[in-house]
Formats: sequence, C-alpha cells, structure tokens
Amino acid sequence: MTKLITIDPREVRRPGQLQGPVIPLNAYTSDPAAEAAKYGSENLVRMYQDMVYIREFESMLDHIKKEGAYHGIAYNHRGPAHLSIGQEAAAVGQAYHLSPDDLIFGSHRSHGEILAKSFAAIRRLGDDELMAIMESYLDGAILRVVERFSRRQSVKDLAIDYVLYGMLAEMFGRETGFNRGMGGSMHVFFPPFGVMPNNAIVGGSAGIATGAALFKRVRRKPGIVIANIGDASLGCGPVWEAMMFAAMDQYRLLWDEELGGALPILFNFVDNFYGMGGQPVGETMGFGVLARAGMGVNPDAMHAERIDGYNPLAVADAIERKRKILEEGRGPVLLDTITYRFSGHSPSDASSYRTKEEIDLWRHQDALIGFGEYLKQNGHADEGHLAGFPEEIMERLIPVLEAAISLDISPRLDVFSDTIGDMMFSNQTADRLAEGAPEVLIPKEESRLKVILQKHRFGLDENGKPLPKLRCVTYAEALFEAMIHRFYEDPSMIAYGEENRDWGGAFGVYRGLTECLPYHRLFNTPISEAAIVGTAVGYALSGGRVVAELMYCDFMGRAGDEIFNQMAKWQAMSAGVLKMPLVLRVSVGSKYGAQHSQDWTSIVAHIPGLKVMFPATAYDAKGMLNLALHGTDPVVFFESQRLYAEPETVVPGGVPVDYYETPMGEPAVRRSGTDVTIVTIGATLYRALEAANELAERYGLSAEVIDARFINPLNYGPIVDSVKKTGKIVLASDACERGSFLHTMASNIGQLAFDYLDGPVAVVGARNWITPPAEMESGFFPQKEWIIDTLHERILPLPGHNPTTVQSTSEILRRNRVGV
Amino acid sequence: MATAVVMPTLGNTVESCIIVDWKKSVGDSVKKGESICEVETDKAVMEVESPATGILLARFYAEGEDVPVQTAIAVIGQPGEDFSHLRPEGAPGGAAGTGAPVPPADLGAPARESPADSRAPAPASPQGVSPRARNLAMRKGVDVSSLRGTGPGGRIVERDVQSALAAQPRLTPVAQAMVAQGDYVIPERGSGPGGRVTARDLIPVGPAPHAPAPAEAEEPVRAIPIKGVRKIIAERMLSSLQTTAQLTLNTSADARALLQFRKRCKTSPEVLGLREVTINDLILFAVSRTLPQHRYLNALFQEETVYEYVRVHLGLAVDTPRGLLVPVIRDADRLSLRELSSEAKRLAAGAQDGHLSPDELSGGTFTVTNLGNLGIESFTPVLNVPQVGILGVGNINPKPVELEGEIQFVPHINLSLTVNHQVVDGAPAARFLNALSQSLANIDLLLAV
Repeated sequence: MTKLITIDPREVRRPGQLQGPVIPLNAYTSDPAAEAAKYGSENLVRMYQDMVYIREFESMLDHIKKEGAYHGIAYNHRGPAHLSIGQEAAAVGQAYHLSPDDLIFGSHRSHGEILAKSFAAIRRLGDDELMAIMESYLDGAILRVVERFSRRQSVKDLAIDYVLYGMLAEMFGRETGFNRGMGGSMHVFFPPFGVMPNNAIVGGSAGIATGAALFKRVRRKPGIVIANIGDASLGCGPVWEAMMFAAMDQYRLLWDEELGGALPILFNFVDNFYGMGGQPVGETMGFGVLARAGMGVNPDAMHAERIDGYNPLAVADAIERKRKILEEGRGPVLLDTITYRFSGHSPSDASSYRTKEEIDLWRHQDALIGFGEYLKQNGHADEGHLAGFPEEIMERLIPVLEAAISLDISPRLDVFSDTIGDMMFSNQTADRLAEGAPEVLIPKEESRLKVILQKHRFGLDENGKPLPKLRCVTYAEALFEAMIHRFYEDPSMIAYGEENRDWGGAFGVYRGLTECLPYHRLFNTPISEAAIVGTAVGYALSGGRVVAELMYCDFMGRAGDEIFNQMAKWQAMSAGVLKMPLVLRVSVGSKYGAQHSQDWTSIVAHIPGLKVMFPATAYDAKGMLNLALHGTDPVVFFESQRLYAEPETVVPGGVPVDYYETPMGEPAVRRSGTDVTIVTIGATLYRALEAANELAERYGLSAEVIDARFINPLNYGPIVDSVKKTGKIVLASDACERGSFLHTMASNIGQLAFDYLDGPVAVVGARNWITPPAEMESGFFPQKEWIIDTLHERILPLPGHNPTTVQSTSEILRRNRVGV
Repeated sequence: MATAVVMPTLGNTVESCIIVDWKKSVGDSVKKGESICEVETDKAVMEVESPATGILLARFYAEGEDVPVQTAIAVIGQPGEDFSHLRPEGAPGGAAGTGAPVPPADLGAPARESPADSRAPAPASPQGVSPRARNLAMRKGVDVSSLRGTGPGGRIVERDVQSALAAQPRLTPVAQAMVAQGDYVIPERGSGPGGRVTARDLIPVGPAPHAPAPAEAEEPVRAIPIKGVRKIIAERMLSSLQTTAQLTLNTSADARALLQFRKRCKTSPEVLGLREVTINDLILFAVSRTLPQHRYLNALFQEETVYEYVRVHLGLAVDTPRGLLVPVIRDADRLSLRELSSEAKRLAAGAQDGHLSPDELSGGTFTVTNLGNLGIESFTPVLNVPQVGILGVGNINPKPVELEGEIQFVPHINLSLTVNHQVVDGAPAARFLNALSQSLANIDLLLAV
C-alpha cells in the first residue's frame, strides 16, 4: 500500500519459470585441525561439559518425576517437565556464538537451550557485570539463597549455581525462582543473559521473537533473535504469519537504510521429528524436509538449511554463518536443526508411537558419545577427564536441588494473599520508554492537527442544535490527537496494522500520520492478525511502546492465542520482570454483516491480565487513549465504527485541546436521573439517551444514564450509588446477550445493591444470532424500544405503554431453551 | 355478659408477655381486681387483675405461653354464657380450661392474619416483594401483605409502598418504630392530633408462628424455649456486640481504703444505718461521684447523637432466676452513701422476685456489674446499649507494689471498663478509670466531699 511501488502488468504477466535457491542438507564437514585451531581444546571440552550439564539436569528431573527422588533426595514435583535428553548438542552448538545481546525465545522443551545460553553468557560477561546482574535481579533475592549453599569461589562458578538454582526453583514454583515461580518449567527465562520467555503454546515464540527482532531494528539495538520452535509448529498458522511478517520487503525497500535492513530473526526449528506423538514427516504434514518451508516465504528461501543437530560444531558453524546474514540485514533465516529426544514428550509419555529400535538407533549416535570420541581422538581430552564430568555435575546439582525443594529456603509466593493479583498489572505510567528525540518528519504543528484545531471542539451550538459534523472534532480525530501526542513524546512508540500507513487505517484514524512519521514508526503489515499482535507482544516486552490495530473486532479470533495467552499473561508470568506497554486498537463494526459487526468485549473481559476500554464519546476517545498510551499495561482498546464520524455531544465543553486522561476504571454519568438507571457499554449509549428522553416525555420517569467506558478495571461504586437512588437498572450493549459482560455486571450489581433493588437487574444485549444485513440491524442490536420494553416487562410496568418488542421473562426462557 | 381478660400492654416496647402462673382455674369465682395470673415481661413479673366479678369461664393460653399484648387470655362471666366471640383467633382451643403445660410443638401456629383491613384487598402476591419495596415498607411501617403489587406479575415494587404511604394516616415516630418492628396494623384514623396514629392506636396482630421443635434427638434433651427475659437478654446482648465498637480497659485500684471503710461501717453504731454497706455500694458511690466529671461516659448514643446526662442514673446488674436484670438507681449522684446502699438493696430484692416496674428497669445512663463476689478476677462487660460505658468489678487480690523502696502486697480491686469506641476513645476512658481508681483508693476522703 504505497505509491512507491508500481505493479507493472508487463512484468507480472511475462511467462517464465521460478527457480528456488538450493537448500543445503547437513552440509557441514568436520575438519578436526581447523576446528582445533578455531575453538581450542578448552572451548571444545567446555561444549562437551555443557552437554553433560544438560543431560544430568534433565535426568535429574526425569528421576524426580518418575521415581520421586534424585540420588536419595525425595521430592514430589507436581508440575510439568518436558525434557530434552538427546537434544543437548543442538542447544550447546547454538549458544556458542551467542552473546548476552542475542536473544533466544523457546518452547516448553527449552531447558537445554536456557542452560547452554546462560553458560555462554556467563563466559562472556565480566565478573563485575555478573555480580551486578545477580545483585540487582529481583533485588538480589535469588543470589542471597544461592550464597547460602554455594561453595563456589569464583564469580563464574557462583553464576552457574545461580542459573541452576534459579531455573530449578522456578520449575518447582518457588518465590526464589527466576520468575518467582509464576512461569514454571515451560516458561522459565532470564533476560539478563538473553534468555527470553519460553512458550508453552506450540510456535508461540515465533511471533514474539519476531517482535523482539523488530525492536532491535527500530531501536537500533545490537544482537540477533532466535525463535527456538519445534518442527511440528510449522503446522501453526501464527508461525507462518510470523515468517511472513519477518520477510516483508519493506524493511529493505522502504525503510531507512541506516536502520540495517530486514529483521535479525532466525527461526530455528528444533526438528526432533515428533510433535508430541504425531510425526510431521510421513504422517501429520507433507513437507518431507522442513527446510523446504523457506522456499515458500521469500526469494532467499530464508537462507534455509538443514543442520545436523547431533554435531555441536555443525550447529555452531551454522549459527555463525547465519548471524552474519542477519547482521547484514538479509534475514530472516530458517534453520532445520535435526535432533532426537530419547525422553518422552513428558513423563506420562509411554512412547507408544515409536519403536525401541528407533530409539536405539539414535542412542548409538548419541552426541555425548560421538562428541566425546571426537575429543579423545583429536587429543582434546582423555577418557578420565570426560568421565569425571557426570559425577562432578551431580555433586553440584545436589545442593541446588536440596535448596530448591526446601520450603524454608525456597518458599512459594503466598497465593492466599493478593500477591499474584498485584502482579497482573504493572499499573505504572511512563511518558516515554526511551531517551532521545522521537524520530519525526515534520513538526507536530504542521501535521493534520493544524486542520483539526480549527474545528469546533463541541458538536452542538449554544441552542443545542447539532453543528455540521465536518466542522467539528470527531471521535476519530480525537483518537488521532492522542496518537500524535504520544508519538511526539515517546521515541519508542510505533504503530502498525493493516493499511495503517498512507490510508491511515481503514477508518482514517491515522490519516495524516504518514506525513509525520518515518516508515519504521508507522507501517503496514501482512493480513496476519496473529503476527500483528504476536510481534507487538515481543516489541512491548522488549521495552517499547506499541499500538497494534485490528481492523475489525471480528478478526480477534485470528489473534486469539496472541491476545489471550501472550499479551495478557507475560507481565504476571514474568512476576513483573516484563512490562507490556501494548495498546491493541480494535474497531467494532456495524452494517457489514455476520463477520464484521461483532462486539467481543465480553471475550477479553473474561481473560485475566487485560485492561479493557471502550470509549463512547469523542472526549473519552482522546482521554482514554491518552490513558492507555501513558501506561505500561496491555490494553484492548475498543472503538466503534458507528462513532468515528461523530463529534462530542455529551460531555460539556467538548474535546479539550490540551492533554488529559480519563480516570482509570471510572464510569461516567451521562445524564442524571432519579427513577431508573441505564448503564451502557460503547455506542449503545446514544440509544439509551434516546430511551431516557422518551421515558421522561411519555412516562414522566427520570432516567440516569451511565456510560461504563471501562470493562476492566471497573469501579462499580458510581453504578451502585445510582442503583441505591433509583432501585431499577437496565444494562445495554451491542454484544450478543448470552455470555455478555453485562451479565457479569448484573451479577455484581445484584450482590452489591440487593437491598436497594426494586426489580431484577435486566440485561439488554444483541440477539444471539448472526448479525443480519445492515437494513435489518434494528432487529438485532438493542434499540431504545428494547430498553423501554425491558423496563416495562421486567422491572416497572409503565402505565399505558404498549411494548413493540418481546422482552418478557418467558421470552428469556424460550430463547435459552432453543439456544438463540 | 362475658368479659374478656386482656393481656395488658405493659410498656411501649412490650410486644408480648409470658403467662407464668395461672392463679385461678376454670370454674373459680373471681372478684373484680383480684389477681388472675402472673405474667412476665422482658423486665418484670406483673399481675393481671380481673376486670369483672364472675366465674372464670375459660383460659385461652397455658402457662409458659408467649401471648401478644391486647389479646384476650381468659373470660369472666356466668356459667353457660357463650364466649366464643371472645376467643382470640389462633388461640389453642385445646388449652382452654386446662392448666397443664403443653409442649411448644403442640401449640399450633396461630395464623398471622391481620384483622379485617378495609383498605385494599390483600392478594397473595405471586411475584413477591422487591427488596427495595420491602425495605421501604419496613422503614415506614407499611404492611406489605395488604398491598396490591403493580410490578411485573404483580410484584410489589417501591411505587406500591409509596402509594400506600401517601394514602395512610400519618404516624407518630413511636408508632412508626413499633410498626417497623412488625406485628401491628395501622388503623385508618388515629387518636393523635390531626388524626395521627399514636402507639396506642396500633392494633397488634397474632403472635408469630412458633418455629418447629428440633427433631427428636436420640438422647433425652430439655428443650428450653428462649422467651421472656431470656429472649430480651439474648437479643440485646447480640445487638450490643453487633452494633457497637466495644473496647475494654482493665486496671486495679488500691482497695485498702475500701476494706478499711467497710470494716468501720460494719462496726458502726446502728443508728447511722451503715452496717449493711457493701463494697459494691462503695463502688456505686464512687462511680456516682466520679462520672459527673466525665460526662462523656454518663451518656447514651442513639441515632448519630450522643446525649450526655448531668444526673447519674446508675444501672445495677442483678443476677436473678430469670436471668440478668438491670434496675436503675435514679439520681445516684444526689444520694448519700446510706441512701444509695438502701436503694441498691431494694432494687436488687425487687429484681430477684420480679416485682419491679418497667420504669425501675429503664432509664440508666451507666451500668455497674460485679462478679467479684463470685471469685472472678477480670471479665469483659458487655455494653448495656445505648449506654456508652459499663464498669465490671472483679474480686480483690493482693498485688505486689513498690512502696517506700520495698515490695509490699497491697490488696487491689480489679476493674474493667467497657466503652463504646464509636463515641469514646481509649484515652478519655482511661482518664475516667484512673479517676475512679483514685476515688476508690481515697473513698474515705471522697465521702467528705
């Protein structure tokens, strides 16, 4: 979507053949002399030692899970343990060339990668840096425990105990784990060493790692990012979406060259040939060789290769070569790193899907044996040296295990207090998340603001007559004012989505921003909602502020995992180590039928960890987006397509020119009344105001109309106060009635104001149907008549009122009986 | 013509009385003014006198039954007279003429119907009453059972109560409060100024249905219905703890002067009338003289207002066979020690045999309760609301005290003061308790003031 690119029919219609690049398979050939010269004996032996560390660590967990003890130390670990026994060489080879600036994101089976990457970081960091990290991380809480049992003299040795303990305590759910026990085995991570969140959703790391790579490019940070995901994740749409996002042409063709080109992202498929029990090759997929997937992504075929993950030196070599490609801005890269796990998927896995013979074939090629032989044959170590490692490591693990299972030394968080509740949101504000001047193309005053500022700030004249909408600041323009304010304040802030640049978003909210911002701060994405949200999660948890946009609320389903499991969870799963300054703008449609007109506020309301807002007036469009963009929490920010073109007509004074924020969680009384309360979410507000007018004119009833504005957090105080006054309440929104968040509100109000209620709390939602065509919408979305009829039928019969819709309680029964 | 003997209304807050003892049996001749039975209220035992001379034709309730005031309990007339019209609705017919106690489960549940109400028919509302309407009705004393609901399906909603309020005669505040507590029907017009309905005009309805007796246990148990004094105590104690913020302060006072003075009283010339003065009398005296300097404790807390009293009306907790009673020594601050002592004895005796009038059992501004003679060292007195202070007196024990450089064991009397922290803070309460300790330690001097 840019005028810079011309699509020439002569070009695209020309006959020819598409040739892909050749994809090397296990092309590495060992040259012992060269390897000895390149790495030196010490490093080669250390690689071996790291592999033994992983083998022993995982075996310890295996013993604990299966036998309840390790060398006589009994422990019942109730949580998961997805072990990588057999995959050690792939992890150690990968880590060798990585620095702490390089980030790895992993999967549920990433213990080995975490250990290898941490050990590599320890070797590269100076003693002072290591001590500073250990002393500052979680205020030194983990270090203080490690110092109690560690007998290590050197800082590097202490740091190894620190990593072993931090991981193990995390797996056992202890407050002294790397993530205070909130992540556990499948999620443990430690950012200071470049070990980023590991994801229990298959392929979940693909989008997040791509977002972290986006952060590195946009914020000009050194290092590459690796997504360690399994071979079976190639079947996940979001993984393909992440690769499409990572392979966009614009990085190299449209973005400032000095940023460095394409994202430094390496999709490393840890290809152990099994997706739990299913076999991608031969059974559940058809790619044959996973590396082939690169050919479907870009002309470079993602520089894809199959790498022998049973030779650590082949892996190290590949990482070294691919890192160069990434640093040159020629990514993304795909590696098909073949390996094999001897252990089951998890302790409950009886390996019913594979033969013992197959496992034995791989055991004979065990990298620990093979690489050990290599070291001995080439004179890097003798048998005695290597044979001593398991015992040495076991002796190191025992005090770590003893400390990690002790409830005195390694307590759990108090789950009965609100400790976890306090971690769900960071609840901070930050004007800017990076230093320096924000990159912009023109002064703010010369932007579209110049036009907007000449408009009326309030949509009614002094007699209450509507002014021409085009001459007034609209809801969409109010959103624009909030966006441009923060863009010019926070250098880290970027925004993207479909048609965001040039077009300014399908509804023109960003119109005028293209002229203000360089490409990397505002750009268009593929139609990949999972990648839009997933990369935004990665960008935000890397430390940048990001606004992602979903063109229609209905497309949230495409980004379900990213919204529900990633955006919502990582602040708490990291025990507050990570922040999530991500605002997801979601536009609620109408007039576009069944798949473009749904209000899904209730779905996100159900997911812990999200702040959910839905402004209904231009004043709040700006005040609430300002609030969202000032915070450090994930916000799902709903907007209504019914309102984009509407000026402010409810809040006196209209939309202020200056910066302001709507107070978090506070509903707004839009019209005061004494006889009945009507609470709305979103654009239904205006139909409620119509209903209030009619109730006053025809029935002499004074209705109080409250705009909830917020779904979470929400202060029920003003609503309950209103109900105490009126005793009657109708809740209305455009969300389908069944499972609507309004029912949660109704339940709470019923409990909070029971003694004051003069009738049941009544909910008016959209019908539990598909949204019919635009011309039939008045039979689907709540109208003022529905509100009045509901009041009449369920709460307060209105003398002389003839209902025109069916809102009786028997109708509630009927609709539920038939399920509509 | 047969005359009904009606359960008298023995006080504004008395809703029902328990028949303690029938003194006449059916068939006995009775003179007008002669005692027919004894009834017990929450505060005292009273006699019900015959309103006429004749033969006792029927007794409608058995001993032990809780009968609403203004209800006919017996009939006086001539043999053979028809008195069926006098039988209260719901009275257990089988009890007539028998004096045998009947277990509660067999009493039957008198119907809780209102007397004929000329206002609106009372449709049993299938949809019930909204919580808001019920609350408003309770607050304003509207009987919801007489309303016609205009809510969905006939639910009684707020506006129905409001129309009833607009239609009904105005009530005096006392009448409103009584109705709000239930079991009264409001007549159409009252006897107060401008037709206002006063407490006297209210028509009581039948007694509340009895709860079913507990299922028969395997082992024999004695089921004791909580009623009368016990019921009132139960309600008041719970309400006291539920509605106030009670704070108890403990200390002990040097008791040497108390013991010394009491000893002197015992051996004093008889003509002085001080021989019967007890330690408790001395404490009452000290309290009555110390409270006026600490009026915040000589006070009642009612409906957001503290009423501080100039005079001290001292409640005296008395253990009686029927339970705890608190007769009140009026103007205790004006009584001499001898007057105080004899008034305390008179009231304690009256409480014991249940012949105190309701007036003698109400109007206190502060209460003293003494368990010291039962060997209790210290306890937490429960406020006699709306009073804001109560003094608990424990026993006298020797306490090591440093005197003139050496430890001596000095007898001390234990004192526990509970205050309502809603209106009295700890520090002022402590100041009163200190002042009282000083008064007790110097009781001989106090008597000279």
